[in-house]
Amino acid sequence: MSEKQWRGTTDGTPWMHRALVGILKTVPVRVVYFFMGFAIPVYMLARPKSYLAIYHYFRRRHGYGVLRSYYSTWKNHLLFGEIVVDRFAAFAGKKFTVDMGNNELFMNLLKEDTGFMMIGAHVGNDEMSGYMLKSPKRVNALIFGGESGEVAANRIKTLGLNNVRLIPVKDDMSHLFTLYSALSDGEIVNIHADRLLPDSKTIRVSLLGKEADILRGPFSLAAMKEVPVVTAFIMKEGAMKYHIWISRLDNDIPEKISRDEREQLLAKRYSEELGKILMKYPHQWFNFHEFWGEE
Amino acid sequence: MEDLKTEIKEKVIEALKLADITPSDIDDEAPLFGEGLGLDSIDALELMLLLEKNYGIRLANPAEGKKVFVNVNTMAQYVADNRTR
Repeated sequence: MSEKQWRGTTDGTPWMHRALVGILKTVPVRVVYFFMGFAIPVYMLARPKSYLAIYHYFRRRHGYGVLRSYYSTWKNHLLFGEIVVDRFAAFAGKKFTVDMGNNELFMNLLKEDTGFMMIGAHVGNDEMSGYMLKSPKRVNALIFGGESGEVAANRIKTLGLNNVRLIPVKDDMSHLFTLYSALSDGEIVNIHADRLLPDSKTIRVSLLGKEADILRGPFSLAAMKEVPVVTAFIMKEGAMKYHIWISRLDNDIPEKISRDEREQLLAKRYSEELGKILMKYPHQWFNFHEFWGEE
Repeated sequence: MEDLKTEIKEKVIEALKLADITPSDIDDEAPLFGEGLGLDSIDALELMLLLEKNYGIRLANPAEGKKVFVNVNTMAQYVADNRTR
């Protein structure tokens, strides 16, 4: 497995997942967070590559000092653990607040007949919006992982109730046909552009002051279909609270622009928005590999 | 049907910007993906756009995609059977 690939599965056995859901039905999430804080250093030491990648992210991309980077790496892992706990808490029936802010642009897009693209990243916890909010348009979310068993069944069931359909990446490319059709049918397509699969076509962008590769596919699809494009980042702001940040990427695009240029422009705007979010929520970056390559 | 196949090849070459390739270079039976023309996932999106824009065809059933884009012959047959323009 290369550095830029990801297994995309949740750790633990089905029995552990069931036990966690059972515990969260009665125990407040804060209690689980508290005990998890002690387990995080052990977890970090067991996965030195992941922990070093995040440490480098704080040192090199945010310019933090050594001690602050170590602390931030611990905090990043803790927040990731909290987010996983939140997902299980959502399965257990706990209600989270998801603040939409002032998203008039987004609400208007939902009312229109045309489909649109929502391009996210492995930051925050975008699944939470699927658990807590019901979209009037069907959301087709591309998933890269190979979840199976109870976790996957719970996800499909809970998200399906809120009009979210999970589309797994398949070797026969059937996921592409599904996403393309969904846009044509006026639905929403949700893809993370920061996770590369083997042989992925990429676009090079500047993120936090250094060049990195992101997936080209979402921007190609958006440019081909000439549909509206937004970034959507759902960030954790408290024990039971999330905030959705949405920005439109296709505003004021010059009319006489080639499709390739449109792709490049959308990707550039995406990386700018992602950079802003990472400056605001530096600890919620969950790409546990050397995203910017070895330096 | 032969004219349609040639037309499809020309449109594929144009849409995918296949430099130095002419319609006669593309075998009707050669796989479009993998060992044949070596197209990739983004090219698959281009082919869907090509069908939609040129022939008014939308793949209603995504599972059809795999069968339609096997080679030029399968594409031409699908276009002939389903075109609306």
